[in-house]
Amino acid sequence: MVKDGVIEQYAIGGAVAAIFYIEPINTNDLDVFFPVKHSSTGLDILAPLYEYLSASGYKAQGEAIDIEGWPVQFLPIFNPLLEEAVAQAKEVRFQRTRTRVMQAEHLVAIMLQTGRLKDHARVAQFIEHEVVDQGRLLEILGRYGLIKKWDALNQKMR
Amino acid sequence: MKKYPDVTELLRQKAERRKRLAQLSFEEKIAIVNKWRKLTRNIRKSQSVLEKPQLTRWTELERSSS
Repeated sequence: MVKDGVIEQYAIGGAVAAIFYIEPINTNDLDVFFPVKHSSTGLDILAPLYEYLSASGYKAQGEAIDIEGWPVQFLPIFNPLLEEAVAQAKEVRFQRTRTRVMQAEHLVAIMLQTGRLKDHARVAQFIEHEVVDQGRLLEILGRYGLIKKWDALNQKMR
Repeated sequence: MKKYPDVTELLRQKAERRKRLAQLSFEEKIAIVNKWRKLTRNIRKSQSVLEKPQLTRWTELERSSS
């Protein structure tokens, strides 16, 4: 899709990205974040993407697209933290395909920002498996005003 | 006072298994998730088969009570 100019860049986020770093967790969909090219709004943002994928034989499944049995949800970047996470995602290999996965520190920052119970539980798993560079994480959290949330979560985890 | 078994060793083994799982390759982990997804789908299917007669019964009950 990047090669064909449908999207400029992308990165896998959410649970599937988390699985790259921690133990497998049950999930139903694959979240793909991408920057929006033009200043289009609403569903217009997704239209070219859907057109491209349906021309390739993939079918929409609710708000996702079924790609090889996985409901893939394309999410336009909607804040600066996500923008950085996509820009700095690391390239990994999945079977014979090269793909981009958000870095562990960005994933933890995004989970803190989202702040649902399941996000907090996942942050704990990242810490437990020691896959996060604490210095880098604190630097990111500082830049995006997430230190207070981090401290509050640490208090809870004690 | 009631005595409970010591599960320290069991919990240690469990934690170790989680560590081992975390160290698997991305492909191996996704393969595990795929298995779970299939299992979940099958469980949901069998649940919907089991739930249908019960729903009918509730509807019948509502009808008979009105």
